[in-house]
Amino acid sequence: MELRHRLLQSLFIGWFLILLLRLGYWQIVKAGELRELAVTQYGTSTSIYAPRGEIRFSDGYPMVINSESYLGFIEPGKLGLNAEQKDQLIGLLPASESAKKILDLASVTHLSWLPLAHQIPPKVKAQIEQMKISGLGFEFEPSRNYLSGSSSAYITGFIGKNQSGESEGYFGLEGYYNRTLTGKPGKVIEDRDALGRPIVISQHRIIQPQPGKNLVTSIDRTVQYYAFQKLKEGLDKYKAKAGSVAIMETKTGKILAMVSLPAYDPVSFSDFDRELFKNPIVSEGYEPGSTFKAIVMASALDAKVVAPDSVCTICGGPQTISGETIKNWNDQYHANSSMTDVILHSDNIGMVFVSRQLGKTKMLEYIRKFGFGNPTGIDIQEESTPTLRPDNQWEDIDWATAAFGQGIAVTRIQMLAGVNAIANGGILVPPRVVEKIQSGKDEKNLPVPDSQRIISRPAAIAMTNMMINGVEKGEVRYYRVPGYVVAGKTGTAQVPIAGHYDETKVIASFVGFAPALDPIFTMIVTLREPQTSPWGSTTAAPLWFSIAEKLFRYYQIPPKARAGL
Amino acid sequence: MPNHRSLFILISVLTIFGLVMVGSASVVDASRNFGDKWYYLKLQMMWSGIGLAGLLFFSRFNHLKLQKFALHMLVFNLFLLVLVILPGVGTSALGARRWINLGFFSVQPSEIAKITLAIYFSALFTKKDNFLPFITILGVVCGLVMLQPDLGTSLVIASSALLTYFGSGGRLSRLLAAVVLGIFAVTIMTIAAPYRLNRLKSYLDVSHDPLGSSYQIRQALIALGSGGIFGQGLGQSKQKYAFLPETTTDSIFAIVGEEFGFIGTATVLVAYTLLILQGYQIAKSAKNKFSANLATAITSVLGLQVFINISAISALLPLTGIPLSFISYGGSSLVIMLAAAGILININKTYAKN
Repeated sequence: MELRHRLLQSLFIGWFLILLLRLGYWQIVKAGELRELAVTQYGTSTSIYAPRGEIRFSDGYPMVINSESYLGFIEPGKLGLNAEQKDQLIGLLPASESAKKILDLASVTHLSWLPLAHQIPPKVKAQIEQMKISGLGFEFEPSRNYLSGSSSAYITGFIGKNQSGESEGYFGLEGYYNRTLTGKPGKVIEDRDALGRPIVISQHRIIQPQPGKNLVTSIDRTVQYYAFQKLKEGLDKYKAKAGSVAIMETKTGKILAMVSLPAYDPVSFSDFDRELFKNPIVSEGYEPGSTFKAIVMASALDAKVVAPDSVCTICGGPQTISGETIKNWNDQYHANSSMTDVILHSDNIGMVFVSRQLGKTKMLEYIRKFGFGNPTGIDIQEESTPTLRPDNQWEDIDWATAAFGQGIAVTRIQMLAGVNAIANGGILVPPRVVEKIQSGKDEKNLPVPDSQRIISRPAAIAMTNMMINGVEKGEVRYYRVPGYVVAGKTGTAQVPIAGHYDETKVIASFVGFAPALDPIFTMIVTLREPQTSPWGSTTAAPLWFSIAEKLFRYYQIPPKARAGL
Repeated sequence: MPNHRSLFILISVLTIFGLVMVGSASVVDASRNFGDKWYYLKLQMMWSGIGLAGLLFFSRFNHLKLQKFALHMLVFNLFLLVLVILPGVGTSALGARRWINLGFFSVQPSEIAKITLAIYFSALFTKKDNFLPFITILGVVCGLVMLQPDLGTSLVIASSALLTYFGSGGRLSRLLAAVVLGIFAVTIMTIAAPYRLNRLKSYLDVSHDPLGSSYQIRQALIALGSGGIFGQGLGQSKQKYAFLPETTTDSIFAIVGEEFGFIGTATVLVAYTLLILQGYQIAKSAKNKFSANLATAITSVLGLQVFINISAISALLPLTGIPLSFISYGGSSLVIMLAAAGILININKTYAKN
């Protein structure tokens, strides 16, 4: 039977060769791949919290900081709590109602872990810990403290949870600078066995967390406070539904204050309507109304198609264009007005005259040069812009009404930046909020965005003088602050609703700068649906001047005995 | 004719290497379950002591005398196999009744059956045409083992019996019939027990249920791959930290691969292959038919166990739960295989002298 035994030997020799090849395949060819699989299954990393960067006012005072808080949780199976302790506990916890519900649930649930309350301050945690309740524990939970609350909500934005449950900044600076603010969490990497216990034979590695970077804004704490206080008072006084104030440093475009009301609370943002989250100053389109006249007139002055003393030849009465009649706001007409008077009287017919002098193409060119139709690039996440219709779709009537700010939508920040270019001698500077980024001891100034000359200095000065004249002699003269020269323009625009203008729904506005010939600040004030009077001249303008008065004092601008023209 | 001293050395080296591996692979389980990380190692040392004593005894005991006791041993073994499946007698573990508890230790009758059947069939095949009693007894034994249930052991028993039949010069047509019958039986069993079907599926498709039945094979491959060419070093296996099931028993070869790399697995494979080739060499040289059959039977049991185990760990065959002879933890298996190796040495001695 030698043959059979030899065959058996051959069987095992063949099998041996197959096994040798197979082992070589797994241990040599596939080794790298399998080792990677191994690393993924042993390596468990525990992340170390990296604090998010803070946001500061221009003077370094904190606007948004991190604070220590805790998540309180219970393990229902181990919970030892008597009725008296329960009441005491509920009294101590924030959101006591939901905490009560969870405690009631604890006796019936089969869950082994339930969150009891979020954002428990350290003090409360210490108090609860003294009660020595078994089955109740705490976990560190970072929280964000918005020191100026809802007054700066439209600057800061807030922190929410993204789809994967991680904290992420939404809106405002939190949204725009999310990556800068977000730290890089550290890691403790340990090899663990299949049940999650550390494997003793391997060492663990620690990657230190990198805290997020801090933002230093140009927001002036005092100016922001004035703007907020005055706007709040203004909403009450003029019974307006909403209002916005934005103030910019004329020469640099730095935003000094930005307030809109009503606002939401960045901490409890989820209790508010989502509609409220967007900063209307940078994202809401509105019809600028007469304030836009300053833009169109400045363009015409730059194009030298009119001079301040040019005479309006069509100002004697209403104008009919493509079957629609254009009137003045009070139906009064001033034949042969000068351009200065057109601004003073806020003459719609006068502006139609200017637009014709300028020509359609040039006018649209200037509107775009002033920044309308494009985002200003301000560092607020939700900035958006209404689009201008394509140049070939401007009918004669559109062209005519745009000259006095109707049938064209802009954002408040665009309007502010546009008028600021007039204030700044014809140079448009993009608005911005953050000046510096701090990380540790390093401080880095953000690059200043490119400014751009859009109209000549003489045109800007001529326009400024017209705006001074409008303030000195117009309806708003009663609100002037004695001794200070202001250049400004009122506006009242009806809110278009479903293609029609609603007579009762207006946005009243005033935009201007001071001191007019060497301005420090440019400011826009808008009020939605003021009930006391629909006119910008009697609502937004007095509010503008009341804030300006505070600013004159704050910036210690000396009053002049007489306003020089 | 192989040198019986070299046979003895080869087996001893494998056994001692087995102790080292059991010690390394079991520390995690042992310290977790018994608070003594050398718990399994101590037991295995005791068993290898008993086993080596058995080896020395049988290497001196004239194997030809075994032929007379063949039937007695078989009957006694059948009795044990029936006993183990009776409720209240057998000790069950992990859903199977495989052990008879004798107070201070427990024995696995199916392990003993490997050797008693080897002896019985070797005696049976000395005469011509005993196919019917062969297939009947094999069927009964495998059936009893399947009732525990233990498919892996029945497969080893059946296939080693068939190899012995082949080696003894049995008719190929009948062998073929037996193989077909065996495949048919295994198919029925596999379909009847869902866990077996799953193991088969996971063998056929590694992506099927990755955390269920293919989990073990996946973890075994990770262990082999992590070892690479040179291995992580003795005691450095991470797969033994509860990732790889049956680390000290059926999966121990994977730990060999992880700690000693391809160099280690290839060396162990070569050692086993040398042992198997020598075993058949002994069968070939044996002048007595019983001796030749017995050498074939013992070598076939050893060879099949080792090669099926390594094939399963390297994902060539489905996992069946067969220990790696001499290396895996387990008293019955170790003592029986060492005693069987002693018989093999005795056969070698007997004919080397002549």
